[in-house]
Amino acid sequence: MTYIAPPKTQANVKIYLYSGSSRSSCDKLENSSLDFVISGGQSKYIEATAKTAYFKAGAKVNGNTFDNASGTKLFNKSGVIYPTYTNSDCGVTVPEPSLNWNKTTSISWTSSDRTKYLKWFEQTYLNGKTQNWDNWQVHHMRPRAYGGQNNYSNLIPMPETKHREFTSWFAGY
Amino acid sequence: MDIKSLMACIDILNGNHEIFSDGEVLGRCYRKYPGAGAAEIERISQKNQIVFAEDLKRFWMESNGLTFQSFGGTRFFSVEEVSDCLSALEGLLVKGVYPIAIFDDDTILIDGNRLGSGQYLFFGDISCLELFYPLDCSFGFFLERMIQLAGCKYWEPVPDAYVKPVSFLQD
Repeated sequence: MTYIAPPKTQANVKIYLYSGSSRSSCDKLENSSLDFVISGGQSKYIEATAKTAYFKAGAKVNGNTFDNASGTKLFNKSGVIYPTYTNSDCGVTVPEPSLNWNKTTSISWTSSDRTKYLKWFEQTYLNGKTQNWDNWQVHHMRPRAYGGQNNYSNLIPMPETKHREFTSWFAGY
Repeated sequence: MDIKSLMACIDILNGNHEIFSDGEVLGRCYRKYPGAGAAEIERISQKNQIVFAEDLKRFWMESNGLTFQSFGGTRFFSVEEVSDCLSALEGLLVKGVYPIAIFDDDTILIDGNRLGSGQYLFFGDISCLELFYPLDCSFGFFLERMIQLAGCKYWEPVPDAYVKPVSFLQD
């Protein structure tokens, strides 16, 4: 977390990090706080060891507490924030993963499965209109490698660049 | 078949229809792209410190990527996309290994450190770099198979009882 002081000010600041396995239960991290005096325009930051968990930062500025200064974000072991995506046709937003999924051998997902799903998607959400699916991927919201199934409630079409963000995030899960 | 002849076959196959064993009718559909220059391929190889297979370089010079089917999602990457994928996986993927294609959520990786062994092609779910399985063929042979199959996966289900997975996750 980086604290940037407003211009033309001097402040006594303490910044600290919280981490936990859910948004609602983040505990203050030991040895992850920093006390300092800062002048306008300067910045200070604190770091924590990356792991797959929720993190948020808090700050105390001249005695005033801001306990959720950063908002709570889900990171992976590489320190990358979990991406977000909503498909505008079906209105589904990819949910955040559970943090206790285990790796397993992926179930089969064939070209035929994919074609059937996209035809179903066109019928259900696009009034049967054919879409050009070039550069789109069918994303398993719970990845097959973490026990995800091929039921349609676990699937969502997304642009390939966005799909890459999700799959590479899970590579560091 | 050499890469140039193989890519020429695509023009003959394009538009033909196949009926698969499960009754699915597949219109063969391939999209080729203008070839990449040797200098660009070399630049990306050096930038990412990876060694490209010789037949992969020949493929890119014929067509910088290849897309299958009308339902997308199955294709060989362009040389630039390989670089983009590597950026997304920085710090995770073992050095020298690079993705070259995606087929229905399975990513094909080449281990550039094993090019001499002939066993350098692997498939798996990129979400889990610890579980990749060998394809036991060269890039040219794999490309020929995928063109014949119009991009349909032939390696599922994974015979995990006797095929040992390889991990490409960095320590």
